[in-house]
Amino acid sequence: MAKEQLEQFRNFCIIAHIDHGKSTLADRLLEKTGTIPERQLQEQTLDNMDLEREKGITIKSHAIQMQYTYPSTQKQYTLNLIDTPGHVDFSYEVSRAIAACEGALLLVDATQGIQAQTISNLYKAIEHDLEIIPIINKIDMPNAMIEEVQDQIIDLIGCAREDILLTSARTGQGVDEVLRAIVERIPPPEGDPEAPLQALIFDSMYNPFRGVIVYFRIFNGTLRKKDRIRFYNTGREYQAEEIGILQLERIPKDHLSAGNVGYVITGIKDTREVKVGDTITAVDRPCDQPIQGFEEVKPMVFAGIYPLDNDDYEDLRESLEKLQLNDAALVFEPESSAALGFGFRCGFLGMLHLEIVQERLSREFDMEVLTTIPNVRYRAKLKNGEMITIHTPNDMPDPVHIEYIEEPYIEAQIITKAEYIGPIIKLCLDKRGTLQRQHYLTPHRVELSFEMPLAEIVFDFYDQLKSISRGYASFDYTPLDYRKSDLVKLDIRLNGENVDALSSLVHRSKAQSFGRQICQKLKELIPRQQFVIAIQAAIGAKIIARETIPALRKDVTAKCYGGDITRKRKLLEKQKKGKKKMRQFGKVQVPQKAFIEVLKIQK
Amino acid sequence: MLNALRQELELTAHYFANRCLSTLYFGGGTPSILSLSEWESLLEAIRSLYSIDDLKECTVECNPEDITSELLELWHAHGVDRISLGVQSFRNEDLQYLGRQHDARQIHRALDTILSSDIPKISVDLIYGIPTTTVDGLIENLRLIDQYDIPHFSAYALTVERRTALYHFIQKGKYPSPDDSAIVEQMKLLMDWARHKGYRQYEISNFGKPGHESQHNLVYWYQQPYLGVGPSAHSYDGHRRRHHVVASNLAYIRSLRSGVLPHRVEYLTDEDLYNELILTRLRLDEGIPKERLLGFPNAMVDHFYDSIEPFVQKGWVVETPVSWRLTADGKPWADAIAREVFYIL
Repeated sequence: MAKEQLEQFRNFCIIAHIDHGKSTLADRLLEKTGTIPERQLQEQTLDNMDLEREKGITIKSHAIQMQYTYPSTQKQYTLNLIDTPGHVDFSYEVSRAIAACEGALLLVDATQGIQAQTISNLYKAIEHDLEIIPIINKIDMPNAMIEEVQDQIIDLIGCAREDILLTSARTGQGVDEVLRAIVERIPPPEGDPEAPLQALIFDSMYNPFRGVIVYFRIFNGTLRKKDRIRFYNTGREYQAEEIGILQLERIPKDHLSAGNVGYVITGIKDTREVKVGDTITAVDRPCDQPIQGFEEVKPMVFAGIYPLDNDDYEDLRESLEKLQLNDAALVFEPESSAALGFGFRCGFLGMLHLEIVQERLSREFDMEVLTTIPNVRYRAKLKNGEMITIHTPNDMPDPVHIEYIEEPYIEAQIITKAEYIGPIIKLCLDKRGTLQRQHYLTPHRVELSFEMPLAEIVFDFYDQLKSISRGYASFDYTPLDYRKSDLVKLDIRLNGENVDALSSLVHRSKAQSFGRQICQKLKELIPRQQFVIAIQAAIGAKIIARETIPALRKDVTAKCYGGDITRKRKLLEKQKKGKKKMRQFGKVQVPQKAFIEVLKIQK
Repeated sequence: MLNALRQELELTAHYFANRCLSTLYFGGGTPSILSLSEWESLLEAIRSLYSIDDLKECTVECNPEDITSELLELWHAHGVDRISLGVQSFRNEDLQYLGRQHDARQIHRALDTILSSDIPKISVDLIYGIPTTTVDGLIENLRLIDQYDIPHFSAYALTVERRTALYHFIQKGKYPSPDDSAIVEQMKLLMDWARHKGYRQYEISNFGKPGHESQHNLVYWYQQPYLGVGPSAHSYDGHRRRHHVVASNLAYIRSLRSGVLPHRVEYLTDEDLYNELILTRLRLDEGIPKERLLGFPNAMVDHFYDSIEPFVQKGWVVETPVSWRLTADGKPWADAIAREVFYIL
């Protein structure tokens, strides 16, 4: 009986690179199964934030259920498509979504071939023993290289050529075959509906009326409406006020059993109470152990976010709080800076996450902000034996108290055309990386794997990688561990006065060139004043770079007749207003533009 | 253009109720390019609209290469009594750097022609701080001013304006860029020399022997009414109203052809008046008169006292019983001081 029930389910996700057609294929599946009538179908239903659609990436995952009648037997199947976030910063969330499935559609663009991100997600899927259905999409494109991409896939997963499906999600070609393959090839879930409840939380979202909606996949047991439930890792208990399945809208149900995917609403108001990867169980009959793989998601990258206008501080706080409602990974706390006034130190999953937050602040809340030099989380072992974590350059203790410092390392995966190997290896070595593996996927495509400090990719790594490979390199990373490192705090001083907003933590080998770069930029941007300005980059008391802005020797207009008078008055008035907006360090006045430009160096 | 000018003169003839002119100035470019007959007609037009019986000063600004004795005679016949000659420098390499059409030979000829004409007053313009010149070059220029016994001159520090050929050449690295220290050194030398020779630096860039100050330019600096005619000319009614004519020659001519003066009016607020007083009077040797300043609202007067004090401490400004004046050390900083003393809301 139980087995029969489970037999109807097929749970799967789609692994694809950005723009390879994941959303379009998802739309076709929904259309073919009649989940959404065709006319209602908005392009790319799964991505529902504006920003996602524009950036072509799925920021937050969703799930959707389809009813499908297998043609030859006329048997009904329930297909649960679990969407995965599409960017490197969200690799943990991806792994939880994958853990909720038995199969994965490996979707590869016929014109592009396999990309790094596809591979790292594929590895995650293989690790979880998912059945992989390889699909080559966009076969209708004139520049499709079907055979070459087939070779790549065969090499990668060792399947037979005829196992690879060919589709054009755009035209709908091959989509019926995909649906049939889902039923035929992906195994039904295993599990026992009568066992104690064990469900994996793979996502959540905030709804202003209902609170937090939790998405889960049941591995064992049955969840009933009004059940008392417990989140295994947080230990918190709730009542399942509403449960149901997800179609285009939420469809409430009385109960959901092993193998199925659904949502639960318990009235939770704070997104942070819900941890992706946690296990839901029943209070009266709990499971013995949680589902493996839970991790507390920790921010990896930190930066100060300041309002451009100090009067907007409270508005910024409110905006960040609202963002946090549907972005539990975002953390922030108040911070102040002599240069920038009051703002927040924020933690992000990665650089893309930072960019998304910045963009959403601007787009959804109309907040223009200044972001300081991003840094990662360091650990310092003090001479007194204490271990402290460092989130901001100003947390850095005096070097004399430090035994050693550690920084986070990642494993970076890069897939590129063979001709770019040289420059890419050089770039990664420059970024303190070590080459671990070099694997030819095809004679022309190489997968490179490096271990490198995370701090190096939060600077301008992506941009450099893109430019040296003319865009033909894809990149993904997974966190490794903390390693000892020779890090120093680089301070920027104006006539001896420290400019806190421009301090950064850098590897000693990079300090000088970085310091010189900042000093040169400041020299361009700080106007000459009535005295000499020394711009210094320093490590502790040691000056490692210096620029001098010569003193202004005069400040007087040559001609001031008739029409010159009004013009000159207006010019001086404008300059006076501009001066009021400058930040002062000692006697030195620094235009806000200088901060913005210097902080751009890092990007 | 001449028709348009005549048309504008007629349209604005009501500007001065008594239709009496006390100074006249033909300048703002190179009026000397007009032909004899054009001058004739322009001067006639002015005379038909205004009384010039009480004219204290009538200046024509001109370039050395345009000077002829015929032109000088005509001007003199129509009451012109002062020539402002755009010499800039007596050194050919300086003139070349500045992109001027004339050379030293033409300057000497022009000066000789003017000094032997019936026109009694002369002023020359000099530019200093040109990178092709050292202090010696400036001394040479001043020696010639002395030798010709020129009673009035204007000396301007080289200023590179955007969108000029010079700016372009400097950007491209073809020409050297002016050096601040050299300019300040030359400015000091110039001031000392002028004082020693009996000139009064009655305005930052203007030097005159007693009685030779430009009456016309003082009108601007004393906030007295003036009427400017021609494209981009500014006018002031002596109270709160300013207007200026469009800058485009074409728009100017077209509009006046249909009898309309293309101009914009601006009314000055108390702050504007205060700021303009500071800007212009600080540049004058007489300084900012207390009696004028105290007529402004209290907030501005208080601000003035607060903001001028640091400069007095610094020795850039000195307070006299009737005014605040720049010292020799303060003169290179006139704009920096004005900026601080300006009142903005």
